[in-house]
Amino acid sequence: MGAWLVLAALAAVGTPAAAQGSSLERTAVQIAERAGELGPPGQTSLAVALVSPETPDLGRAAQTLLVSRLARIFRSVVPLRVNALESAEAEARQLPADWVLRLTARIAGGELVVAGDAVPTWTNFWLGNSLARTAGGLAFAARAPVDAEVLTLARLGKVAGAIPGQLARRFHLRPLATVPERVVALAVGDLDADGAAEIAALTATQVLLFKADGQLLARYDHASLPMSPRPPREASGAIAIGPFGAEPNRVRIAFLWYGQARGGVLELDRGELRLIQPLDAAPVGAGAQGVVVGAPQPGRSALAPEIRVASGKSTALSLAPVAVAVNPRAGAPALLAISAEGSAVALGEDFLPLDLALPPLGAGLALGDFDGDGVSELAASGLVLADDRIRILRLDGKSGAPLFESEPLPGAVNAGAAGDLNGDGRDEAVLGAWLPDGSSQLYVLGGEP
Amino acid sequence: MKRLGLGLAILLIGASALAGMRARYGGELRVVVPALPQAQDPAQLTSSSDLLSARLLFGTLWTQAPDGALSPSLAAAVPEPEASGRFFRIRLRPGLRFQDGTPVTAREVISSLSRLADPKLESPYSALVLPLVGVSSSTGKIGGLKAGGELEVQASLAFAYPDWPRALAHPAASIVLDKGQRPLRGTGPFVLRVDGPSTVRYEAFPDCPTGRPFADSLSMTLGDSRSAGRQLALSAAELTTVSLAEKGGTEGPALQASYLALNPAKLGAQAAPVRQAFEAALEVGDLTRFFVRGPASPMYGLLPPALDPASSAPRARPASPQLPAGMELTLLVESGDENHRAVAERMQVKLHDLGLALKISRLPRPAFRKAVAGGAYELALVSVMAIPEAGMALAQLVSLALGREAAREELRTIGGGADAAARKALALARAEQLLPRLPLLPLYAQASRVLARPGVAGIGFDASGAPSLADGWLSDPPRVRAAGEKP
Amino acid sequence: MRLRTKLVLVALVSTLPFVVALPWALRAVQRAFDAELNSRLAGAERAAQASAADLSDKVGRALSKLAVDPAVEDLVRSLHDAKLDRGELAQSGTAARLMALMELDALEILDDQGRILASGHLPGRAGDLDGDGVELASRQPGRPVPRRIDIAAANGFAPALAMLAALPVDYGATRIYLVGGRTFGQAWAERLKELTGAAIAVLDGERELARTEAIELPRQAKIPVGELGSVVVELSDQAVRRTKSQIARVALGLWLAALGAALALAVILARRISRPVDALAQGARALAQGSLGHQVAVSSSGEIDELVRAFNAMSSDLRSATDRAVVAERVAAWQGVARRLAHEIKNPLTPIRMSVETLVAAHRAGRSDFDEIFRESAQAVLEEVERLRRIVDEFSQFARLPKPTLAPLELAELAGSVLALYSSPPEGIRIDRELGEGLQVEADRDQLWQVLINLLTNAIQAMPQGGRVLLRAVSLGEGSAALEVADQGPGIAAENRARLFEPYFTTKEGGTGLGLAIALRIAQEHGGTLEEIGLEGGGRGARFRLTLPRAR
Repeated sequence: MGAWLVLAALAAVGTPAAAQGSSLERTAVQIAERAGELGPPGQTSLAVALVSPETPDLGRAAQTLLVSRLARIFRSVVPLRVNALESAEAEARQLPADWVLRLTARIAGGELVVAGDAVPTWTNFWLGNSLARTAGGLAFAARAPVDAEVLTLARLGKVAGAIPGQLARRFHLRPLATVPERVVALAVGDLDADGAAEIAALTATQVLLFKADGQLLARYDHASLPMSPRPPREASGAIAIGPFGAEPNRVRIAFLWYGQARGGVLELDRGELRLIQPLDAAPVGAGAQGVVVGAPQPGRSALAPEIRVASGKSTALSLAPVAVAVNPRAGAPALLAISAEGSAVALGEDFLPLDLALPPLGAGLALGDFDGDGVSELAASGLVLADDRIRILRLDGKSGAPLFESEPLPGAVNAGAAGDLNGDGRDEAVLGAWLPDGSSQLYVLGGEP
Repeated sequence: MKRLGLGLAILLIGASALAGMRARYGGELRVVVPALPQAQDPAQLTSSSDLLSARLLFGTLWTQAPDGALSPSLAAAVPEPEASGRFFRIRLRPGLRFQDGTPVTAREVISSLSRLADPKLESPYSALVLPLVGVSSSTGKIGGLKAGGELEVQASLAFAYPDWPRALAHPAASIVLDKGQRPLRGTGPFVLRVDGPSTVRYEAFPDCPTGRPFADSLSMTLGDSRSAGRQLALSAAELTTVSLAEKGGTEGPALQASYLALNPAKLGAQAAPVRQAFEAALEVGDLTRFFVRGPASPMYGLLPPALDPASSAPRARPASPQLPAGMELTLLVESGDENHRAVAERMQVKLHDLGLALKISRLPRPAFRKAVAGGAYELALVSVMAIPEAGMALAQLVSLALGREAAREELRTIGGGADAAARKALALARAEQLLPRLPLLPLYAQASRVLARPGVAGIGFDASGAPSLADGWLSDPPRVRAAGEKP
Repeated sequence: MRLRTKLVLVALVSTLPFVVALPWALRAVQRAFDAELNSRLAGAERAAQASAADLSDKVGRALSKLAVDPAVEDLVRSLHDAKLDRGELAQSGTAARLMALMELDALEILDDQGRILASGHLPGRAGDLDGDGVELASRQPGRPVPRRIDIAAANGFAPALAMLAALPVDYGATRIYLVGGRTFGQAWAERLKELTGAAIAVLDGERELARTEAIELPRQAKIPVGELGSVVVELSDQAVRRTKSQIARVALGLWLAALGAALALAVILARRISRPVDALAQGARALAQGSLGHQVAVSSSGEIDELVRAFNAMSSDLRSATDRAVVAERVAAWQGVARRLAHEIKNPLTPIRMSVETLVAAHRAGRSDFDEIFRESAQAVLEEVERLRRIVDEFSQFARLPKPTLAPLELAELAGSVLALYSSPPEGIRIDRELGEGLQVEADRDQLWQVLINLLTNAIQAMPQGGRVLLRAVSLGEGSAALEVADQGPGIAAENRARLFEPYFTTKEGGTGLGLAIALRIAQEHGGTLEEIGLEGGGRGARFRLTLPRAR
């Protein structure tokens, strides 16, 4: 009932003048503008599906408003009432609709974000009139600061006083550095014992060491190491900062480029990285339990489904990991590994598997306490082919909604590590995205100061 | 319905190499091609399908990325020119093996390069070895190639040609084991399993020196644009190099160059006016835009625009010449090449407007090649897979039109340039000078384009224009069909 | 003219109407066929018109349909979204497929500038400008008009006449033009031929673009296709002409058969009629020539039979009558001759008796002048005896007159040779001649000679005081010629005329009276006549004419 009242109120204020102020109106205007690219308005029909899983009333209001705005422009606009966006395309194909807009409305970082895509639903003569998408989709993202209306709609049907979690804390994703090659693995650790962590990155030819502010500290050219007779095809490797080598208190960089027969342990010595010993294993990280290594498989970029910790204890994993995140702090989970298929396995402090329900994850992974609440979260990229995003997922099993979700990034995030970069007691995640030109962009994801 | 609608979605790849996920192993890549590879021999590649297949089966000493960067593959490193660019020392990576287990040694490298000069093979890539000392025109033996041990080849050039290694990155210079058996053994990521009339099947070679391919197997089937589009839409195929009606996909450099070859021996005194007639009648830009399917760029100069940017600039067209009334000419076209067929029809129409009757004679590839090689044609549409190095590409054309000796002289001239930029400038200047003198009328340069269904990632191109199918992988795990479910 | 000839002629003439009627009948047939052919041609022409109109309609309908076809909508949309490569569009066969789908023979897709994006009928034209299409679409959208186009053919392309229509199709700001059409091509011509049974040709000026079959002697109807060319509907005259010539041949055959039959009939009839008639004629001639009792031996029937019988009876009667008359006449003649002869012979006997009696008396008297008396008496007796002998000679000559021996004879020549004897006529006599040439007769020369001598002698003797004799040879028409001898003597007294030719009738001193009788007889023996016809103008004198049949 309340929803209808609000809808009526929205309709009453749905004038251009009001559009300037209303969040819903502003997002609708932004989406309508972008929708103009779909085709000549007078000859194009649309179906619009808009869901908001956490705030369904907000979703319905946003959809109604959007449909009414689009209907002023397009030949026909049909709202689709769907529970999941996956069914929208099929429903739209039953209509005479040329495109279906599949949008999600949510509140994130103090903003109302309406995002999604449009996919064509007209059948194409050249593809034999089969039910194929005839063109690439168009991505939509509209945002406006949350206003009272939105908050009211978001609260509808909820326990009084409950506020969507995303509003509670803000995270910030900032670029750190660019690397001309692909960064296949990252590590964070205090190499020089100055209290601030450094960042190590592994590429096909080098090991790069950055300060927390992105300044390049040192580099090591590993291209002269002997090639593996059976290298993997994919650029892949492992790097870690931790007590590698004979002296257990000395923090060093260990790396293995899988295309090479062996890797090495590097020491920072007067600002230069020096190879002090070779390494056969794949150093995947170092945490409360010490260093963690895996065993490379000849010809493949995934490690053998088994990891070893410093104690020499070996744990079998249920998958062949392509990326492993080791928690730099004590606490569960101590380690999280994902397979190429995106399925994840998490181990507790005792290195026994934890029962965590996680969505498919990408290879940019970092475990750490990002919000400083003493509980570890997971920063992870998506298992997608494009428009990758970084999310911070809670691992306490309380809510499926991410604490943070970034905008789509111009690349794919394939490396990650976490550590306290600024000494504020909260961890920051360092993530490496592969860019289309073959270079990489490093990002730092942390809480607002 | 819902599943079908989603499953049929075609996403034209582009950013797929940037997958936010690691490559997966397994599965089969099914590729729909416009023509099956006909020559499973790197020395004989004449079509993009041949090139595609050569990249799967064979490996080169080093590879060249589209940006020109060379990275070692079978060789331990890309050799630096010695003796002012007249000597190269090629060192092989230890422990390499051919697909049948035979070790890869300097001997195989020498024999592989010598095959290019073998007159019996009539390789269109003989230019690659022309700078070497002592290339025998009768046996193909090359005196300038010597083994310096099991893993080292010493190459002596007759003249300085510092860019030689760049040319050797071309798949034509793949290292093969030719002991008379067919198919030839290579070191490529795939092993040829079935070479059938409608399907060619490959299986992963796990010990490939450049890494096991992600897919377990790969098959190529023949298809046209409609069937390829459908198969992709229905996930009945992963990839296609058939040009579909819509734009998109990933393109390699446009290096498959098409020319109108005029045979002066047959045309006699009419050669000049006939050439002028073609130049006057055809606007290469329109020809390319309307009659060539798939990615292609018009070519106004001898070299493809990918090698010579000036080639893409339109030239002034001459006035129509006076031709004898009722003149009739025959244009030879390879029957499998639909683009050439369309171009030939266009020529027919435009020359008809000039009062010249053009007869089109279509021959299957072997007969076509034989006729062109034997000079049994008046006019022919020929295509050349250009080596992505300007000097070599020019030498390829000169060799085709005027013979190996002339090509060698061109290479000698170009190799004399002080640095890489000067050499390239020299090559391009020579190309400009040779344009009116070679009996070749440049038409267009074509690129390979790969379209993939959603869920296929990793496909890129190398500098030669060949897609790297071995890098392709399936981001969606192979779906297991439920019992009774229709494919 | 012979009857047979007449009959044949009659037969011939009797078929004449047929001959006269034949062309008329043929013309009638021709007219009937022509009318039928013309109506068929008109029908075919109407069908062709209808088919052309239908073709035109179909073009308009197909184009209207195409303009709202999802495929075309897709196409414009793809162009609008710049998702469609132009080369792909030109070469993907889209235009050809749409063309086939709409059953068109020509289809072009133009962009808003009139540039051909794809051509179904001549893919090689892509990229060229077709300003006409744009103009057509803007001036009369969707309305088919005749146009001259090229279409792809086995060896490059072929010219064709087509009905083309053009329509613009819009999608947003993107516009394309569809230019489609159907050709008056071979397939259309064949269909039309099935429909009409006529031969169909499509012409562009004089150039033939399509043709179902070549027919001889066509009758044509031309349907103009705009001002560009024409559709020619042809029906063959040949069937008509063949039928006509068949009819003519049959008619000729019939006529010939009829003629033959008529002739045969005529001949048979003639035989049946003319043989008896001929035989009768021959019989009559034989009768005329004296073969009395001549019988015609021909079997016949009807009137002819009666005629033959009558003739035969008449002939028999004539013979018996003549026989009787001859006997009677001979008796009478001989009685007359005997009487004349007795009279002639008795006449000298009296002087002889008187002389002998005188002599006897004188002898008895012994008269001194006996010798003189004796001499005188003897002289008288001898003279009388001589007279007797002459009488007897002539008689015997008259009695023995032989049958003439006929030979061709030129009258002038005969007359000339006779006149040669009179080269020096008696004192006071002048003989003139008028001899016509070339009068040929069949005659016995000696006998005619004798007749002529007789007539001339009579003429000269008739003029003791002299005078002129005229001998003429004259033609009396085709069949006969005559010799005439005219004198200026006293002429024939009316009372003597009847007996002129009787034997022993004479008015002359010393004449035997047999001369003219013999001459008449000779004339009769020659089939001719001899008569005294008097002088022309009725002058004094006599004129004898010997008429003879001319030689054939």
